[in-house]
Amino acid sequence: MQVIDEIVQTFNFIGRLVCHQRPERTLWVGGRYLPVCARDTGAFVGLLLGYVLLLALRRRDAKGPPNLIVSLMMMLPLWIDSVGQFFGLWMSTNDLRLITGLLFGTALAPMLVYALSLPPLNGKVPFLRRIQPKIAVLDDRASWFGAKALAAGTVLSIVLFFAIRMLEGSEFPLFYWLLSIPIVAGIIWHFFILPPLLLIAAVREYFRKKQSKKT
Amino acid sequence: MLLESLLSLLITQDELTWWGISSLFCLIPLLWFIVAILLCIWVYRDAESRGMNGVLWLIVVLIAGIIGLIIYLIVRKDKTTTRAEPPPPPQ
Repeated sequence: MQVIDEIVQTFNFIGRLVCHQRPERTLWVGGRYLPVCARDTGAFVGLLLGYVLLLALRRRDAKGPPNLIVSLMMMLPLWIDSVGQFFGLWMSTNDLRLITGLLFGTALAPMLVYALSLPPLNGKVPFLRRIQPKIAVLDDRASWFGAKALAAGTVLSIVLFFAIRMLEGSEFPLFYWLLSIPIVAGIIWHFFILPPLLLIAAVREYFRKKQSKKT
Repeated sequence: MLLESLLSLLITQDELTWWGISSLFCLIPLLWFIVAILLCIWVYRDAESRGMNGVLWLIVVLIAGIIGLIIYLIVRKDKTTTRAEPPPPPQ
């Protein structure tokens, strides 16, 4: 039991680095508070969903960015909800935070992976190489991750929203681990692994170009 | 050790560990901040090269972040290539 408590403490510590962890805004699942608030829970679970969808639904031969209009429609609710709450126009609810986070995260994953494929990196990010487009051209009309794929992401986000809501308030510990492990993995990947990887890739690319200029 | 013992007079060991690790980890998210700044510069240059108001779009991206960037990508004009005017037809 002590080991489990220590793991939970470590999870909470990692969550604390990126989230306010206010209890009234955090979901209670499996007899514990999740490591991050409802909005961040949605965002990190959504990001994971986005990566899974990328594996299955990306158009390998297309060069254009993910469908921008649908991406915007998926991301805008989180922005409106956050800004409205920040300026005291309304008080959001955990349900609203969760669903807006899920939609945002699902749309963010393809945008992020595509952005990393643009110059100067040109898709040379370790671990992501396989799912990145071979050539990314911002002005190209052929969407690398189309409207249908994003619509599928929206539907799955809504399904996940109801699934997480069903788990909320439960006391069965497995549900806590089911959600907190992907969340913590998402935090570590996006905040502590991806940025140094990007830096290494950018420095490598810089020296490679310098070398090729010399020769 | 000396620094640690001096700091421990001011804050508890737990707080010290928390601040130590947090400040180390803060350096990494700082990279994301640099990426955001580079993004703003790119938006400014790209908008200016397309005959749009670079400052306006820089502010939009600065305030709205990725949402602003997507809006910019949707509304930005196509790059116009300047071609040499064809010679007048012979009379």
